Amino acid sequence: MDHPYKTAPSRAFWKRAVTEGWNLEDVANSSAPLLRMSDKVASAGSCFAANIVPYIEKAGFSYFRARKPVSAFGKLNEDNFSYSKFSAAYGNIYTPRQALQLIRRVRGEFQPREDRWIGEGGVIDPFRPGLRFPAVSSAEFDLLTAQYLRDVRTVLEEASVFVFTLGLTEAWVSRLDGAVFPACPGTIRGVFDPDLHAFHNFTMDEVRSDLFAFIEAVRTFNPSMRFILTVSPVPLVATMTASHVLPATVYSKSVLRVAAEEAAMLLPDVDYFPAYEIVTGPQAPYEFFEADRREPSEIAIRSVMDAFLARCEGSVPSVSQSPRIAASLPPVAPAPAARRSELAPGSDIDQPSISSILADAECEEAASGL
Amino acid sequence: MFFLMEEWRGNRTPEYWAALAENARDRIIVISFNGNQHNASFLFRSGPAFDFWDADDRGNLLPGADVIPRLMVREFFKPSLAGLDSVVAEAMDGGAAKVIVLGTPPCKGDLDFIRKIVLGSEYFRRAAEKIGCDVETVAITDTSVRVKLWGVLQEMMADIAEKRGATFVPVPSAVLDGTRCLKSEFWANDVTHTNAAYGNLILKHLSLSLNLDENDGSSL
Repeated sequence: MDHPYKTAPSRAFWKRAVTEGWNLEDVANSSAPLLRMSDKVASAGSCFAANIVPYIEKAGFSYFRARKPVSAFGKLNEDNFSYSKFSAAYGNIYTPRQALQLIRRVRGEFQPREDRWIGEGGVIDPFRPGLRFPAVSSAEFDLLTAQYLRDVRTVLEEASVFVFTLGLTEAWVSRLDGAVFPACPGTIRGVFDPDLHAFHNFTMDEVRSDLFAFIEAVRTFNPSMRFILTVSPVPLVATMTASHVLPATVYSKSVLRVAAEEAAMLLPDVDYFPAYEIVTGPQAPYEFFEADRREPSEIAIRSVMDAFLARCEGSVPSVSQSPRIAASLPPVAPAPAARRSELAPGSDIDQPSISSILADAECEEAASGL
Repeated sequence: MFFLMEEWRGNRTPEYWAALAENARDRIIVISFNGNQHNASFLFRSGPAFDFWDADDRGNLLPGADVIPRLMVREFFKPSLAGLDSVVAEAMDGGAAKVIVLGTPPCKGDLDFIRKIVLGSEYFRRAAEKIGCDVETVAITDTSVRVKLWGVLQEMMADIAEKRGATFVPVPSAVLDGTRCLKSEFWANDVTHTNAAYGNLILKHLSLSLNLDENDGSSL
């Protein structure tokens, strides 16, 4: 008897595609390259979106940054919350609503009413609470925030591909206007106030609507922007629902996964890349998560990126075809955030700067009475 | 008036600061500490121009400059002033009648003068070449930014003095021009140093600040 499965490709069958013939590079759907060498790649989303950046750059693709760090300040440009890792300093954006509100702020359509927390440490940005150096005054806060929003606009206007990693459905929002905070006030910074701050677990309809609106809003800046959507495999660190954190995680990821699939199916130039499935699927080896069973291992990220880069222009054969092989590989050191050739002269902090040479020379002359 | 540094004729080692503490009892100690960091790190610009907020500039920043947080500048300078904190503490513990942290010399604002000095130094030219820097084209950090960097240093020294119960005495306004740079009459013939006239003025300024007879200053 004939039936449609007779002509289905091997990758459609679990036994052939997973049990016996697992091929990491065959998992993603994409007829066209996900990235082209001419692309300017921007990314945003959860921390997983930051992890992929060194791999993209190491493969020779151009990761777009609106602003390079001021080299004279060296390692002070680094931070603990990924602000320096993304195309602009937005840090982690966990929900489509948060991403949509950011675009609306750039467009001047939304100004959060609770837009700053003034405390002993300075003026804190509630939407970037982990910034290493808060403003010392509201005037400085306004300057830095305006520059940041201009940077986001530059990313939207100049990038050609936007990789967006969906992270969570659970969020804390302002009761004043629904502004979504990336972290519960009082955790990283700020003070939790139950009269001002409310928990919200976004529904399927909300996430889909927000994601579609986000893509549409980005394309008002750049109609040809292509999107690659992924879902972060990182489980929730905690839930505020009544559920155990495991089913709460599965709810969250399921909603995000469906929204991403629908966007890829229904909107033009939107691809879904199955990073989530590669790391969390039953084929994934135990070693794909660290001992806490939450943090994806370097091997897992490398496998994801092998699969991703295999779908990009100029792809090279992967060394992580099998998760078992991948699990035995030593982790690779990510490429540095900026290549040496991109750094300004004198930015190497291991050698004396031209300014210090002059100052030292003049001090020696002065000391010797010359 | 006793100039420990003149007597010491050596590096400012831990022994030097110990000697300061030993001579501190009942004296007014004036500490002039470092103060050239804005030149030593930022006289020449590597990479894009940057600027940062300052209460005095009312948000008028360099057009097109990267705006960096003011606290990042403070953090950058912090290691260079860590020693001042302990030195002030030692002097206070040494029984000083008063400890003064003296403001350090302001920037020179004439970029043509700076460029001329830079190009005229064969030693500097050779040293720059060794690190691949062309002194003919190297950019000098905008004066307004150097003034702010110097201002941050003064602010940090004042904070340290206040924390330790010492007194910060800023440079007198008489040495500053309209852009808060050092007036040219106080320049030594190099990029970073002041001249004897500046030193004399500072001594008078200190005496006035302390209500001392400027010709005596025996307790200083």
